[in-house]
Amino acid sequence: MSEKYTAMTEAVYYILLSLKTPNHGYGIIQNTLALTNGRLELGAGTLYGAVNTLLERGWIRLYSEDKHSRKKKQYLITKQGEYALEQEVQRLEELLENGRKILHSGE
Amino acid sequence: MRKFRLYYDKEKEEEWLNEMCRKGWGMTNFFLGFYTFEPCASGEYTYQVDFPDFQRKKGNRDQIKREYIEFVEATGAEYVCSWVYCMIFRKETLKGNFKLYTDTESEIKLFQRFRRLFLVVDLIELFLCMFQIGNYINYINHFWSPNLGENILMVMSVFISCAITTVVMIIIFRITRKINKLKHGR
Repeated sequence: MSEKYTAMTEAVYYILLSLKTPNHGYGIIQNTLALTNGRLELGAGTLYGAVNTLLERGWIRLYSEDKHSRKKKQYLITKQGEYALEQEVQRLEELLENGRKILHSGE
Repeated sequence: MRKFRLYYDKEKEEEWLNEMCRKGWGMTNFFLGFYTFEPCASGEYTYQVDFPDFQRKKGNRDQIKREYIEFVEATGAEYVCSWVYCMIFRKETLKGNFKLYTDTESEIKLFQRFRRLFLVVDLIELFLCMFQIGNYINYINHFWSPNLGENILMVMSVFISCAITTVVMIIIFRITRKINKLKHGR
């Protein structure tokens, strides 16, 4: 079951964070913009590819499909996705900790 | 207005479409190298050329395509046209930035999809080329005659398919170079 672990792209990281509650494509873009104070605007093509990859990996799942609304498909993070996100946060914490420790050690 | 152009580099194509738009011509349709333009306000739109990733998707092609268009249009863009797997979108410049691929990873995959398309085209062309060479050798061996016209025609057709194969191969090399540049951070 253990998948080879590599660092997440920013897109994947923020998509997973945006799907803690059910959300649709445009909602993910908006949420990411808000979380990064407008720094990261996910392109539709990038988002589409990443969402499909995450669906294949089973890190997110289709939550609902509204045939009448323009918002259509909503997605939600899965247990596996949450686990991957936690692993990534731990990895990033280690990076930050080491960075701070070594950068400020000479002061 | 109509213009004939052949592009293999989607970035050059976008540059040209945006330049045309600055001159007041908004692209509205494409067919076999012919681009149709209609008057628009100068710089009204930003254009993006897309080659979406439908390969792994299962199900009805038309529906997948329709869903993708809706997905992109939900972000404020407008679908212009498509040709085979290529799609063109535009967004009103006033509505803000327009870029479909915003990280290196997805950009690399996009160029890899373009490369795969040219590779398929080139393999077919290579097969035709070999077929014609074989044909010509056969002709020389068995039906050698001083008929110059026939001879020239055969040599020409071999030459043309070899030329096309080579040109497409150069395109594939150029796209590969671009992918490598992206992979190694320029």
